[in-house]
Amino acid sequence: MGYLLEGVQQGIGLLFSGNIETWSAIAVSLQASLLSITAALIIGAPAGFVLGYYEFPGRRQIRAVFDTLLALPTVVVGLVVYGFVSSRGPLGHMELLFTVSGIVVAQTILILPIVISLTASAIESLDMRLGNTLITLGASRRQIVLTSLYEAKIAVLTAAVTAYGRAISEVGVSMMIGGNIKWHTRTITTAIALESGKGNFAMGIALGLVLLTIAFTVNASLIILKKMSK
Amino acid sequence: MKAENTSHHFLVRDLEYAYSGNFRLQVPHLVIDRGQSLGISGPNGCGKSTLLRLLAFLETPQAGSIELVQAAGGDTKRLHHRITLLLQDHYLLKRSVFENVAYGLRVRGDRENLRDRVFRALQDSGLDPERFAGRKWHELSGGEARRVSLAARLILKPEALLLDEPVANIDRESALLIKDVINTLKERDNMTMIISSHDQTWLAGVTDSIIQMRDGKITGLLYENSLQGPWHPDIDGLWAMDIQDAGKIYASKPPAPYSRGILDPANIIIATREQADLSAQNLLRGTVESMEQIHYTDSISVKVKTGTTHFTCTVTHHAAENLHIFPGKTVWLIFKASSIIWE
Repeated sequence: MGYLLEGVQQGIGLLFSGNIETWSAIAVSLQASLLSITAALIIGAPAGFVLGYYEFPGRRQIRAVFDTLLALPTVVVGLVVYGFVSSRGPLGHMELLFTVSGIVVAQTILILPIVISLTASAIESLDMRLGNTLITLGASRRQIVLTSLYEAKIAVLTAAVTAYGRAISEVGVSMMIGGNIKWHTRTITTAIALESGKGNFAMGIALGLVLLTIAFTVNASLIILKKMSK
Repeated sequence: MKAENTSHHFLVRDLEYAYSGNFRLQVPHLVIDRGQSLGISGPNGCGKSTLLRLLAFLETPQAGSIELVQAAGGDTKRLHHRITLLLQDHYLLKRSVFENVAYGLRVRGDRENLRDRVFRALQDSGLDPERFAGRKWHELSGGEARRVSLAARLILKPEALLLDEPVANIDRESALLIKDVINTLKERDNMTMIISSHDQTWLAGVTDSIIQMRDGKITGLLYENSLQGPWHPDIDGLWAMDIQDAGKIYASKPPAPYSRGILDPANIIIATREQADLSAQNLLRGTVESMEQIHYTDSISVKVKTGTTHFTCTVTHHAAENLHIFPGKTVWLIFKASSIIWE
């Protein structure tokens, strides 16, 4: 027990003393996850709108595929992306392997189904009268998409928070595509995996605390937003 | 778009629209003039809402066409920027009353004097801007919410305003206010208005003419028989109006002695022999003056002269054939006192 407490104490010490190695991993994690959530929202929110708003042949099947992909194993995404971006892969010339950009691409693929599937559900649960009301008020197609997403903003934000939680906490993709290179592609999660393996428990705990704080902050801001929009 | 007549606003030709089940809307011909205020009356499920949604270009006709005639020198704005429909189950966006009313202008990129215009639209809809502009969408009664929806459309100053059952399920005060709003718009802005309601009396107070619908078809014009009093109390609690050389017309109690009564041509029965023992209170003898195919229905409009008054009755082809009626023939008109509604 003393061993654990000592780890926590040392961890907090590491954070507050501004340990560069620790903070470098935090910076990479934040950078990768923020870029991937942005990309996933730009692609996923309109796609989710289309899946939730329009009736077209094959819509149910596509929905089912994305619902299934919600449980996409990170190592599978890592494996597939690795296959594409490794030097022998079809996208090898882009030199994404072992870069933060590579992590972003893989994380985006990982969380895209979450954004698409939850946005589609959010749009489906909107009032049927909304679309017609917007048309009669003269909204263009693009304005209908934006207003509908705004009307469903809480559900869309929940989708974003859920997706972000997955991006910042995953370890498989960062490990396989990023390669856990110190100062470059080492993220919070890969650092925890490595340092605790090495017996450096304090750094693991320090990073674990940061991860928890990020998760808590993001969720707390969602709760505040929900309250404000009432 | 080519205009056949600059005063025409909507031209409907051979319109057909069917949906699940066996409901089919059929309007072979309908012309609505610019500045006209047209009522659509009929029971639930007769196709009023469907016709309005088609006229608002929310649905696409399965056959036939609807043309929105361009005014002389009119601009070529998008259809949905020229006309607007207040849906029967209207909907407010999850934002403030102000933002709900401003939405249509915002999507048009028109932000000039936004606050003044929103306030004026609220005022026009009988809502105190200072009290209501800042309210959230859920802080309104049913009637207030309906008037906010109306304000959101008035602010757009459309060429044509379409209202689907604007006074269904709302309080009396709101219904009267909406009536005033519509009458003001008619006089002040000369806006074309198409309004559906199952409440014929309310509808008569806001429109110039009313078309009757039944089972997806227009069955006739409601406004052709206009009975301008004076009315006086008569037997059995009924009120009566004298018509020269033909006796009396009985009606239920009018709102005022000089109220105008309206008799739907479809509610008059034509008989070729005098009938006895009727439950209907009105039996008038007259002469068929003219008969005319109502050009957008399969019905025939029969004009009958009783004394100095003319009545228009609607009968089907089949009935006209069976009755062997022709101009000059003597007929009896039968209708209930309660068929006369008040403007």
